[in-house]
Amino acid sequence: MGYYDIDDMLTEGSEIPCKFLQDIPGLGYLENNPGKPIKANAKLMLPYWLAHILAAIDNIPLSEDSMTVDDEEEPVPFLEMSTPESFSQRVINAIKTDPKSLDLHSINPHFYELAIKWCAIYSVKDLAKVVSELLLQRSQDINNFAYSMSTQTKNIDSIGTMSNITESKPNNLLASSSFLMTLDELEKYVYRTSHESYKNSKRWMYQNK
Amino acid sequence: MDVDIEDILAELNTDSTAVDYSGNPLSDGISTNASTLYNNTSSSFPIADGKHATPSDKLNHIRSNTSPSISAEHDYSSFITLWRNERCAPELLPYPHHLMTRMIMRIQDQLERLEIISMDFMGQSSTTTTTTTNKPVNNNNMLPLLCMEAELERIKFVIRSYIRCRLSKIDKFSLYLRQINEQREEDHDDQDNDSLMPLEHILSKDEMVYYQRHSEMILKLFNETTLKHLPPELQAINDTTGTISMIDEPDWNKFVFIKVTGPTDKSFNNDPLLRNGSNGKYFYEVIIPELEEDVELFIGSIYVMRYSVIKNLLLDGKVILI
Repeated sequence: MGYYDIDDMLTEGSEIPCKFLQDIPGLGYLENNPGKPIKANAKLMLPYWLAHILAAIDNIPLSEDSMTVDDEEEPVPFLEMSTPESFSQRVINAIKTDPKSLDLHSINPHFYELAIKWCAIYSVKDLAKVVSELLLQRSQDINNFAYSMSTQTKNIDSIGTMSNITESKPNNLLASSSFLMTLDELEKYVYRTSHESYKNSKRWMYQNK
Repeated sequence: MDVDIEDILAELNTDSTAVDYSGNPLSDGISTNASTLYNNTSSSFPIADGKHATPSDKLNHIRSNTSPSISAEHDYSSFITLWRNERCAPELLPYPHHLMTRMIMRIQDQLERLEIISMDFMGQSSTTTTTTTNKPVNNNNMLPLLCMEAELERIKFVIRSYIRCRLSKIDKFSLYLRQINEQREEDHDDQDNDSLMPLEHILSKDEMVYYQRHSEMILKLFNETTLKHLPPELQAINDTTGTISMIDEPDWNKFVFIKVTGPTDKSFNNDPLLRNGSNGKYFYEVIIPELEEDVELFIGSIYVMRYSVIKNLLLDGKVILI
């Protein structure tokens, strides 16, 4: 997860429900009414990159005068993040029952990366356990689907020509394409690379006879 | 009564047979003068073999391991190992200066030889009936010539691929390399900067030039397109104090496939890291710090392992990446 990683940026753009703990003047544009202050206990959705900083930082004194005021107060972060929809108990239960039939892509296209960040901040052990189990279970299916492909040479060309293959092997491809729709971005990457390597090694073996 | 004469036989054998002095493939050996560099590849004896005619010399050689044999064949196989390691490792490995010089020199030499031979061949074909038995190499068949050309192409392909792979890593880690360089200059007074290798050791001269000019150009592009419109405190390209560090470090925990080859001189008793297992097999013991788990790496086996765990073994040439 580097600085220039596009998937990482997209992950950090996912919104998280937050609750403000302080009154802050001038920040009303986060609630779509600029010019007005934001009230304590206001609830709104903020992107992760903004929220996780505001949840970590305490009230920083802006000038010398505010230092004295600050010492009397308890250090309170600007806002509090509540568990996003992606990691709610409903989703966790769905993961526990059947990891393979879960539609991860509709829950969050960057489910795993967000889960990694979330676990890193709050060090939630049971979520980490659930998610790693999920990845393990689903990667078995990913491997199966990556391996299975038509042996006809004209159809090996690319994934894009799948429409041609539908006539020859309808069941297999119907199943795989509906499964592929449920993959999240990380799994898609895993699927793509493993499919490419299976495909290339098969092509090498059969065309060099 | 059985007399074990294996040792005596081995001493006798060292006089007449070529012993497999496989030097450390990752250290590129000592620098040698050019005259002894390129031997013909057909000789199966290493050049340095004459030095180790007596058994005592041989033992010295194994203990000290200061003079690994240098031959074209051996250089090639250690270069293949280096190439494989470079392609699989997440970080930029040190550049084999001496080995590379020897390889390049041999290629040029072979190229010239090839030209001379093919010129002979052309001259011969124009005067077909004159002296055909004079040179056996040109004896009317092209096969040796074809083999030499093909071999040259193979070696050149490997070298090209190796250098391209290194260049792509330099692109990726240019800021990280700069950070290494700056840190070294800062701790120059301290003596304990062994952990950081000098940049001249990691990169070759050409790579150095590439790295400097390329990062200058990237910086110029960034500056002129976006950075100059930003407030001054956001203009740094290598800011590590923000929420995300802008410097991409190599992924030290990347999982790699390794094969444990053992010490390069095949003398298991002289390696302090090597342990003897209960079933008589030798193994290295490494510790994965995050899990606090000991792992025994048996010689000759294949493992999937974190790169940070096996990094030192890799640099010593005791494991190879596959």
